Amino acid sequence: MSQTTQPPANDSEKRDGPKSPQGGKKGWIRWPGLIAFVAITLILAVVWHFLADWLVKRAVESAGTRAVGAKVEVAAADLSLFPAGLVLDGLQVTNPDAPMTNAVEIGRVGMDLELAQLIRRRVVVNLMQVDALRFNTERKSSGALPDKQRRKEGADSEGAGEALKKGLEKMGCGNFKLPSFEKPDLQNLLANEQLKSLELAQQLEADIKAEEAYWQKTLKELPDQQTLKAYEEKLKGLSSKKSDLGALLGKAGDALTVQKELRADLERIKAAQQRFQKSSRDLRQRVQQLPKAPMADVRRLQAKYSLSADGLANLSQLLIGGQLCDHWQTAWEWYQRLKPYIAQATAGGEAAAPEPERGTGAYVRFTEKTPLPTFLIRQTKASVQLPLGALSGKIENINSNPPLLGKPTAFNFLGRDLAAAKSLSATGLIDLVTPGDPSSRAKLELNGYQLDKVPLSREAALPVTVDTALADLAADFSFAEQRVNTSVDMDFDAVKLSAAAPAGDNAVQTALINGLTGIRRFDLVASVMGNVDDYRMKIRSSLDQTLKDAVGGLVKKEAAKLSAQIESKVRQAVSAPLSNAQQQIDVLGPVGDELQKRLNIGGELLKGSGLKLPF
Amino acid sequence: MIELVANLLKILNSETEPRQISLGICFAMVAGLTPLWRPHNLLILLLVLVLRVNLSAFILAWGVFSAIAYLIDPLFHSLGLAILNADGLKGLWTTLYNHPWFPLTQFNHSITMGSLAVTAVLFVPLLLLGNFIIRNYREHILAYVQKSRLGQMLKATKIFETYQTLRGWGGGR
Repeated sequence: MSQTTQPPANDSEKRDGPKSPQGGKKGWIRWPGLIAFVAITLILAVVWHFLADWLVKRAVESAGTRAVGAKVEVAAADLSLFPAGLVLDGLQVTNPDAPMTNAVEIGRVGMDLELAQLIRRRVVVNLMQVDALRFNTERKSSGALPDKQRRKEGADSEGAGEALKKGLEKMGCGNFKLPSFEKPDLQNLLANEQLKSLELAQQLEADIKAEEAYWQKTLKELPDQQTLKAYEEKLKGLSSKKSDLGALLGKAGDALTVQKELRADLERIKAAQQRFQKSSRDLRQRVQQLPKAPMADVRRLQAKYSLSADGLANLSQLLIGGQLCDHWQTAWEWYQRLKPYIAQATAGGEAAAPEPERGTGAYVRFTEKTPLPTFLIRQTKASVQLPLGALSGKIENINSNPPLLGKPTAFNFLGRDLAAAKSLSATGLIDLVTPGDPSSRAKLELNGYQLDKVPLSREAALPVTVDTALADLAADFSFAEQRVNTSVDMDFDAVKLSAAAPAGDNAVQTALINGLTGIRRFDLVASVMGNVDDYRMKIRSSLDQTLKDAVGGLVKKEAAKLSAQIESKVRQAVSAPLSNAQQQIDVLGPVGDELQKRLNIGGELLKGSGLKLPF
Repeated sequence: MIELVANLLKILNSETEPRQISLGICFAMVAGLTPLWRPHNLLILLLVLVLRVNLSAFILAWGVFSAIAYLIDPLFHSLGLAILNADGLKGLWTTLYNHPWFPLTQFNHSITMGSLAVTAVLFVPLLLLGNFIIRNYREHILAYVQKSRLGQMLKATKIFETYQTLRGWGGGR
């Protein structure tokens, strides 16, 4: 590695270059340096050989963890250059929502890499072999990320979570609540419910009392019968005494004054009478209406507390809707995680590289004879281990830039004579080739699937489990022009359902459970359709009719019984205030009579005085 | 820093051929200014080891140039981008890019291209300048300094002490 130079003997040596220790001139070539170079190169190669696997393992783990938002781990990695290839053993991808579970676990992934593309900093895999792919496997330790990373992840997905919430609300998720099968306690019911009829009766009673008090006071303020009779005395006094013309003229004037005063008093009484008649009429009308008020309360309470036969019309949606919503939510969450990559891919987004960090520089790409995406797996062969059996299949053209590649990603999986099914096939196409116009479709067919202890409904009011059944399933999914169209068609045969025993003595719940446990076959059709931001879910099943037949009559009978009890209780609660109100209105009768008497007396007086009243 | 200056003096004052020192500095410039993990640096290593260049000068200058590279890599990035995107050179780069093995050089990396271009331009001038300076230093300045009062004073300083120590380690390479 190093050289030893002797002091030059003279000026000529300095000019001509170094000389050997023997006095001969040294050449420019230092042959031991070649050995040193080979040794250093070999050391570097050996270090690379031992470090490369670890570096690849760390790179896969950190990139995967960043993408998923939970730990991605690799048991071992083996990178080879000649031929170029990579083998990953024991790949585990944690489910971010359940850190003790792996969303995906792969026993072994082998990749046949194109070395020429690696030189261009591009990962092109001609064939990837995935063995022992499993879903939802248990982890030995938690795969959750430290708080800091989780918080960052949470902040990023806040908007997406809001969109999901809205989407689920539009689908009706959260509204799939079974009606309560428990009989309400009528005493508690009436104690906790505010009865409108009771309020009306009490208000009316108070209004009548206020009106009565008002008229007692008003009658005192108005001219009474004695005051009116005093006018009679005054008029008589003016007419009985004889006198001269002048005196007569004076008496006539006095008579007119008295008449004027009398007329004014009578007008006050008349106005009061009109007001009384109006308020009296209104109060009587309210008293007449009052007996009808309890019926409105009865109807409201019946709707709230009694099980109607209409509530059972779409029982399958109530039973299974919640579970389908959970599946949809899971699918949506995974879609959100993949969305940035899909968006980048559909935009053909490899061209716009971000501004590089200082010191890192940028790679400039030039036109290629055969341009390829920076990431491409031409073909993936996979063996998948599902609870129902092992599948094998292939995926073509997984890549980071479909518009550049010009080919969609296609998959095809098939399993025959599985442990728990006759056959399963899944095919699909994810077409992101046209920028801004993504489309995809998938089809799943499962025949002769033997269900064993599969929960059909986790609703607390009616938890139902499929103990055994033989199911055929066909599912279609398509997404195009921003519209989602998903349909799932299921036929269940040789069915044996079980449901938890009802709490307490409840005839309807018992009948429902009996109806369910008696079912031997049923079908189920579920669909999610609509715009990508506005979709609806529909579920229908032969279960609906079966259950309606089983419990419809009983529900009606139970509902009628409960309705009658509610009506009776409500009427009982409002009867006293109602009766009080009816009695109270009668106390207003004498007020009207008194006013009429006063008017009659005044009217007679005016008639007797020869003057005609204007009223 | 004192050790660095002492090392420099030791190399300059040694009886090593000036061309060996200059060439070592020039190779160090290439290795120091360009990104380390590039195939061309393997070639530089081969040349440094096989050609009779002064290794001490190479190692010392490599450290200095690596520090300089850190300071001016944004300049290399801009220059590299300009060269790689130059219309007149597009054809050449495209041909090289499509070559099965040439992309291994990472010539299309902006800092690599920028720094390589700079070092290629400076290599020969630096070699000649180095030779010139070392020869003149030895012929005129060294003898004068050693005889001058300043030289005598320097001999009493810590730098000279360090220099002597290093010389005692078997300098002269």
